[in-house]
Amino acid sequence: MKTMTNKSNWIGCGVVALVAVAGNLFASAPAYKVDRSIGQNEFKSDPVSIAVDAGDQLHVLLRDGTVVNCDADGKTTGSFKADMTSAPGAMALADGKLYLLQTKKIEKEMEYQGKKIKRLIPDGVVCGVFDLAGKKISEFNLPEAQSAAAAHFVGKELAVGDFAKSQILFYDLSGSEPKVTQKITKQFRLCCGIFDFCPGPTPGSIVVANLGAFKVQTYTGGVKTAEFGQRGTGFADFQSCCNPVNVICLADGSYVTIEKDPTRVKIFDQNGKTCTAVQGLDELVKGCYIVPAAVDSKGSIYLVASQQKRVVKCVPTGNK
Amino acid sequence: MKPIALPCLAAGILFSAVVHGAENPAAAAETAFLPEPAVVTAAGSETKPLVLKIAVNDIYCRKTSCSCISNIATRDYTVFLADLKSNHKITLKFTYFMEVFDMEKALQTKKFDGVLCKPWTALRLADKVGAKYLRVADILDPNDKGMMTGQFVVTSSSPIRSLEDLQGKQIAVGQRDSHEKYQSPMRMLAAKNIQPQKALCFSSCGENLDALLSGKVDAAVISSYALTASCAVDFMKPGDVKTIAETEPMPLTSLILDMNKVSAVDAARLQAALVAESGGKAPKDLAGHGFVLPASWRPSPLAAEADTGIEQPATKHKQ
Repeated sequence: MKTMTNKSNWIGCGVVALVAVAGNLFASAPAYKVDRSIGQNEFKSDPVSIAVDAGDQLHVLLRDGTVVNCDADGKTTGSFKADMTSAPGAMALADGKLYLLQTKKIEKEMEYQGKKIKRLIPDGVVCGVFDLAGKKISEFNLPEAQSAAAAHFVGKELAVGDFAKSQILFYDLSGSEPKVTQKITKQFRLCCGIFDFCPGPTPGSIVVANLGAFKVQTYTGGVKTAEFGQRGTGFADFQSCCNPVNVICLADGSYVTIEKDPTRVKIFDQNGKTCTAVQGLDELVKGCYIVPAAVDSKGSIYLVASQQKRVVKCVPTGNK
Repeated sequence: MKPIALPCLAAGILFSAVVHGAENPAAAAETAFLPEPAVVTAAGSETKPLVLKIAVNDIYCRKTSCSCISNIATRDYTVFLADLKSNHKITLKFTYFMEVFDMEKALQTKKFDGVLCKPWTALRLADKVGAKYLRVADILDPNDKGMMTGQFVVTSSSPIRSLEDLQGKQIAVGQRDSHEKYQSPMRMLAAKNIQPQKALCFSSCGENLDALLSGKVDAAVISSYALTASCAVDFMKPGDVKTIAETEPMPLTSLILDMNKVSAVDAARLQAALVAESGGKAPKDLAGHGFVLPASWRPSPLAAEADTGIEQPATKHKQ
């Protein structure tokens, strides 16, 4: 991926450029394989979100509002049912606290091909904050958000992917009320109710799976600074009606792209060019489904196979 | 993604080739199956069971479309196929492909007798797979339309009002294997000697619309169903763009047989049966009135040398 800099110091600029060029020249994507020792047990409800804490413990949010805590080997260490008015659909984690986001809904009559049908429409987002044992700490509304499809902490701020308004909102939660500090709008070509992103390789940046445009895009300070991807038949291209459905960044600056049906998980180098595929991966989802994902401190990737009610772990092989 | 620039030289070659008719004459033949009366008569007296393997990629079929258009793509062939079997002793064994690229690969295995899809998807592969494809019937969409077009669209606030306004502008088109988004629109531009400054080639309407909405191009060419029956329905409304020009109509979806594998009598028998089970008899879950006789369509693709010099996107990879 190309990055943009605005340095006035030409010498510094030259050094940065040389380092960047050298980095780009020798960029390669790490190889991964599926760790079949975990992920065979089904959860009681389909998982909808996953997060990994600083101690590499997994926290899996199920559709019924239960949060299951597991160790890195997939062994359940605890669980709790979130005390919220209805089940949350997205989760973020920071400083030992889980932020569970519930989309409020209202019933509305709509017309499709001349037929009137009643539908539940997103109407705001409530955020419940819990400790890892499930004790509720606080609850508040997130202003300007209509729905919450995904949430991640980017630095100290909570970033929320709002599918209904096709926007990403950044919240400062340090005050008495959540405050919107930044929002990215009019950039995303979303479909199928799918919207996910991850913290980016540089402070404050995010990387978005812009699936309707078949692109992975980096935004820094609300501005698109880099992108890669296209629909096509090539190995590095994305396929199906819309993909990728998710993206995560690895510590070395590589990108993991996740495609739904047919499932393809690829690791792109930091330039978004050279890529490898995760070997031995079975189909994770059938049809148009989000594949929530997270990465731990050892670089292990956790992929949520919602329909199969399980989490799949992929580990680095050590090869590039 | 790499922009595909049409430098003056390449553009010149393209437009010159088109204007001077440098086309592929072999592919300009009629694509509709029009049986002789004697064949129709013979087909009418045929009663033994007929089994055909058909690859399916249908925009309006529930099994081959994206869930975001599940309200529109409701077509289910189950009842129709059962009627075909019980009333005509014709068994169509459908294999469904959600990804058209997968279907294209499958066609190359030569295990299918026919295909149900956007006709150009199969017709352009005929030589490559050694097939002699003819369209036996067209299927109507939920609004009972059997034809589609390619549309030149601009944002609703754009000052561009006509094809002529695209002179020297940037456009997003399909890849050269797309008829409505590349072959036909490129021919339209060439016929009017309109030379865009740059053309970006993408493989989906979503990417073309993204390029338009992101301001990368001044106009985009999309399939006429893109804003009602593709993933774009989730991020755009028909009112967000205006259509400044449209290609000639072409069949939307056809049942196509490989005449190297299926006899003319069997093809005529299937054609009659498809039409007989359609119209007023079409089951409700076919979403529309089913099959009609194929419209005449003689696509004449641009010669391969026409776009020599256009850079194709390339991405390094390793497996």
